[in-house]
Amino acid sequence: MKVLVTGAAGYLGPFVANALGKDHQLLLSDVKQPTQDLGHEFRVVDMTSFDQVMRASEGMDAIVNCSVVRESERLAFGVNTGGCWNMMTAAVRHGIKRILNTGPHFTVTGPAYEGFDFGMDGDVPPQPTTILYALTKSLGHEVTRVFTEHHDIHVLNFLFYNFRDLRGAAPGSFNQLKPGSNPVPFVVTGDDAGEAIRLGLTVDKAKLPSKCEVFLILTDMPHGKFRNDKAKRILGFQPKDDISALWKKA
Amino acid sequence: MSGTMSDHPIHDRRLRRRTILAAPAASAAAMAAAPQEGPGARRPRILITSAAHPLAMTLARVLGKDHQIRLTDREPVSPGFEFIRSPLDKPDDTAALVQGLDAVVHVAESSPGDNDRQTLDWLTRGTYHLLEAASKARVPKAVFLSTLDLMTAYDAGYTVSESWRPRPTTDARVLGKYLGEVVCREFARDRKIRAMTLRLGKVVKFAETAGKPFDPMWVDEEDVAHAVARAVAATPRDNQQGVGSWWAVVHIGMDSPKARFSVAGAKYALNYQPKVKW
Repeated sequence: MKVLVTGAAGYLGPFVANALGKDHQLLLSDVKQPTQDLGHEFRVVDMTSFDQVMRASEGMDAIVNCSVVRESERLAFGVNTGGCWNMMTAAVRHGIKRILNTGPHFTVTGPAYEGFDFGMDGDVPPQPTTILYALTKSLGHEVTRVFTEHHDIHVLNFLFYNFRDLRGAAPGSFNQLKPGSNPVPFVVTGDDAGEAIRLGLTVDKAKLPSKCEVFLILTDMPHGKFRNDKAKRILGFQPKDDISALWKKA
Repeated sequence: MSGTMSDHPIHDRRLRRRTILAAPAASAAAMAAAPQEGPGARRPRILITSAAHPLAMTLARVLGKDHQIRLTDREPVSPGFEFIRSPLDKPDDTAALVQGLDAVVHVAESSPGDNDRQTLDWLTRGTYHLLEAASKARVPKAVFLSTLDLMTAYDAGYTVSESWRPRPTTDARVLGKYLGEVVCREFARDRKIRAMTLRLGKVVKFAETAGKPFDPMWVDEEDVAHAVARAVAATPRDNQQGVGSWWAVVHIGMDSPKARFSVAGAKYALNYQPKVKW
């Protein structure tokens, strides 16, 4: 399968490339050149440019969108919302049937949920509130959903919160699993996140309840705040990395 | 008798098909003006966006009778009202735009010549900037003008109301209006600014529909203006859905059995009483 990965030079991109690279032909892209060799064909693509997204999407079978802007309001709307519009329009014109879109957990389960509730999965009405990052990603999410209602495209929205890179866990670094150090009840390692995306790329669409689905991608955690059972049930996701030190006493 | 009635609009040749309904007990203008009655009272100050759009000028003319009007758009216009040019894309500029307001009326129409991306950006980012500035300036109310095109995907035989889920197309304007609604809704939820969305039918001048095939989506622009005035003036009522909550949506169209969508919600929430009846 030919797969365009956008935002490939960001945090998640290298894990996605690593997970997909064995079985798929990848075109990695980002608005800037990566600082390291990602091991696959690379092209500079600005998600705010419809023409660039169109050209990069030509001939692809699927798109994995890892692009994100968190702060600058012009770019946040341009990339997180407008970028989804460009991506979905390009998918329609090129006949691309599967999109994996990524974003933060508060694309859907924003503070109005997180601050109050437990047992959350992605199947709730989005409440991003007005946090720029959350709102613009949520608008992008809505763009993808609306396109699936009018076109034969399946979109899997993968939502994340806190990442850990065990391969980069140098002593004293953020990635080091310091016992009891992380209060965030929604964590996944980069490798497990990449594996979830690999599974989403090929999951039988007959298993998907609708053409636009949301999955929360986190490891097995005892907090009971967020749930990953939908990803397990539909995608066959089984997080492998043990990061339980994060919530265990020393 | 015919001599005296000939001056009434209902007998104007252009308006022959027009039916003037009973005037509402309390006009929206009166509702809006009531708290400020008395010598030297300050008239409520309202910002109207997309000033170059014909509907904005109609709103300014109708609301201008009882409100201080401030208009804005990306390009200069000469409207005969206070005008501040703003692209709604810079926090400082937009903050200055909303100072001292009692309400913003976001007409939210893109400019002629805008491409799809520009339309989408205007309806999302522009709305975000406006609501961000308004909420920070403690403007108590925002009225967002959306479209009933969000609801036309439903079977025409269904009694679709405001409680039905919007089903936008991927057309940039229609999708952008929907996303603009989402932005307003989140500001209402998060910032506690009272945001009301009016989903409008196809806005027309009644006189210009003569001889044209009937369209069940028509709504007269003067009726829209009065609906907006009522939305601006509406005050929260406890234990009541609609205007009593932070977020409300009402459908504004013709009041007719032949209408594509019912306006019962608007009649209840706003005492909407369109004068034109096709």
